[in-house]
Amino acid sequence: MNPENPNKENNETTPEVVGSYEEQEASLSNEIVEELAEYEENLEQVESLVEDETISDSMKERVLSSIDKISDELQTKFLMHFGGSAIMGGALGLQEYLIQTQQTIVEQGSLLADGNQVAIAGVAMYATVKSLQFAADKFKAFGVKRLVNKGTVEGAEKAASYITNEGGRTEISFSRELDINAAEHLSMYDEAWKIHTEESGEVGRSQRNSELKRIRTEASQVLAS
Amino acid sequence: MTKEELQEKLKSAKEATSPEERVKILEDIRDALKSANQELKQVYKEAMSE
Repeated sequence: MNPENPNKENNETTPEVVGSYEEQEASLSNEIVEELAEYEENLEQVESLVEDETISDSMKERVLSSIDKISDELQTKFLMHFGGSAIMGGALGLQEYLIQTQQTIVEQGSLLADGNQVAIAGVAMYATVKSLQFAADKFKAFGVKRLVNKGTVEGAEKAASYITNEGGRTEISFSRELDINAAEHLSMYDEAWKIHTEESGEVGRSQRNSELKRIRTEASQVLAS
Repeated sequence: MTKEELQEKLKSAKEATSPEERVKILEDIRDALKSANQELKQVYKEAMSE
């Protein structure tokens, strides 16, 4: 058993290692760029069918439906690994908004916390089970080993249950109250959101500030209770 | 997702994960793209043979 990852022994899909990881990464990156270029060509070709007068309306509907399905599946895959910018535009509902926020914390926070430990504070108070599950997936994807959930007891328990059931090795500790580290966590969250907003432009600054204000107000209330 | 966006994401992933994990992620993305390409070709083929 690999002491660093007890799940490794059950991973039978890992290919035989050929060459160094760096060589594999370089090769795979090239393959991905080629596949992506082919995907763009294929997509353009299929989309052109919609303008083709020799194609029936029913077939056009099927084509459009297939394009949506294929695009969604690919988008989900990207989202699973990279999060953030895969969610584009649109009127995000609260849940989607929280998912986007949490994944930003995980994505950017994992960089800020050198990939080993990151804490979610504040926003978890509003977290839904779905967003916690998403965060848990992201943590696993990034190999983050410890999730400190400063959200509600119920939310933390559900997240713990989810991760346990999924067989992740993420260790969870959670607290009902924000502690002295909350300020640091909120600072990380603030920084993460700032980076994300400035780089992607997906979340307006006023919207971000409004949400931060709400989170800080609630954090203060928890700390004062 | 444009090529530039993808490359930026790949760069982020490289900075945030272990080498082993990065290889797995890249394989997963490559396989997803391959699958999408096969499906798109099949859709085109079926539409043209109608």
